Amino acid sequence: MDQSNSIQTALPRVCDWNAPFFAAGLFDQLKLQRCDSCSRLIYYPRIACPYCMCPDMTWETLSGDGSVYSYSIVWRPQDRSFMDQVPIVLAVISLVEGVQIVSTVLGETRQNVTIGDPVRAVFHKLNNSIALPKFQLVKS
Amino acid sequence: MTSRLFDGIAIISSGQTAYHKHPEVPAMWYLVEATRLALAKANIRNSEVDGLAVSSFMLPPDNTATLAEHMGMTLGWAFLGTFGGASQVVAIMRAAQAIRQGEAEVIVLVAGDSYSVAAHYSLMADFNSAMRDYVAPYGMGGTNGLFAMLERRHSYDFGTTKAQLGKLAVVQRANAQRNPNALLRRPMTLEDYLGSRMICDPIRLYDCVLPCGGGEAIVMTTADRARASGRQPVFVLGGGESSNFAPDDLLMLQGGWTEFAPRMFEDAELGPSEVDMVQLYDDYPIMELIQLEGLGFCERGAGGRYVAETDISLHGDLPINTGGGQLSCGQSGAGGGAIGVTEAVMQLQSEAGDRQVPDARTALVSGFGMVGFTKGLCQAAVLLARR
Ligand SMILES: [Zn+2]
Repeated sequence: MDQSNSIQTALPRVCDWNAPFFAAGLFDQLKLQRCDSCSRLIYYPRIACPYCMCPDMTWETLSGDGSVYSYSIVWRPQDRSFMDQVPIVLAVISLVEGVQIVSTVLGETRQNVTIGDPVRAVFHKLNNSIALPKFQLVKS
Repeated sequence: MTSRLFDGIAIISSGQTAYHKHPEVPAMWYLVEATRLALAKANIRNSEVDGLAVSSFMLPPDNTATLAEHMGMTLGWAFLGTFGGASQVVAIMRAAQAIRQGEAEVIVLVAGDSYSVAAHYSLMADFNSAMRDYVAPYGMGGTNGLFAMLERRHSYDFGTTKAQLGKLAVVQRANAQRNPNALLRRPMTLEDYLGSRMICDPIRLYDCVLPCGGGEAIVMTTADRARASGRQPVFVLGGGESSNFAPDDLLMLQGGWTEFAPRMFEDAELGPSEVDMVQLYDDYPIMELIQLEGLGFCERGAGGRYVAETDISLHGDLPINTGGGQLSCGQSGAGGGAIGVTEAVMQLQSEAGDRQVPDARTALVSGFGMVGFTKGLCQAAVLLARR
């Protein structure tokens, strides 16, 4: 787990339908909803499936493996509290299970990232109910 | 057979406030001032206005009804835009239908904000629940980070270059030098653009708009009343809108324009090549390419090459953002989506001064906005003409 202790002001709001996503990271797991009706994986967490509006979804533990679909190297975050993390490599990650998630790529060599690079989830604890999934470059 | 949805309706005037880099007055001031200017130009009293459409991020806790109270208007029709930078374009279509259905006869459409860099970041921190909960906690860099990822992927898929994108910024700056109201009028070369400070790689400083205070308004009424006013009527030939197009295309390599543009051109009995100018929503140059592609000026992915190969200057084949656009005028929050409307109306009413496109008869105006999880969810466009 990344133990960076920055004061983070941009906290997600935890509610009934996203709490399992944020809590899973506390146990080093990436969990997303899968629709019980149409079987599609869903990101971001929803009240009902955005593909078919079915309200019944099951939390599923994913591998955490994916690849970089696109990225930006952020030198000017929106908020001072992120300055100690600059440059932040904001990225859309294509998970191997077939859904995309927005996150960041970590590591000393993160500025050398390119589209298609393989990554694996790691988890960054913010408080006792939230750990964000972030992604580490996988050396090939 | 065309639908002629907007027959018998005309825009008769526009109003645009000065833009302020460090605004000291609230959004309400810009909305009232833009409305006052547009009504004065058309010689219409506030008591004659019976419809009002408003788009503003920073107007709350006020709204269309309380703005009407401030301005002494009694309304038979009211609209509050929820389409961000597409709101003023959508409002044109809604207002035209309201006038056709007799709900109102004289409608003011106004958009504006008291915007600044600090106001932008504070607005973006809680702009919608998905971005707040699933993107902002990563240190996204505001919208810069999101559109940087779009530009990166467009370049990867289609070979789009920074020089192609820079041509838009440079040509628009040249247009702005002929626009006394633009905030950024210093000359800019492609080298200046390419060498500007890196903000969110590959987005550089001159890919970004300058937040400012400002307001834009137009007045719409019946064609009969427009003709009687003695002013040049500007007609709506066609239009379309889309919200949440292609939800799984997170970065929006293709927008909803693709869906409605063919019908819009068919209604107008025009093709893209017959349009005299286009006013694109230019929060970033990459979005101008997505619009050119979606609106049918070129194939998907070919936006960069199209811009490189086309004379987009004021006297060129397809003048783009003839007043300098948001990239050179500034972005007045929700007013940024109305700047292209005001500019098109000024051009078609021959009020554009040194930047007048000769013999301009038709203009396409495109709007885009309301960023959700990762992209602007609303796209809209209208074709305007003097006939
Ligand atoms: Zn479903």
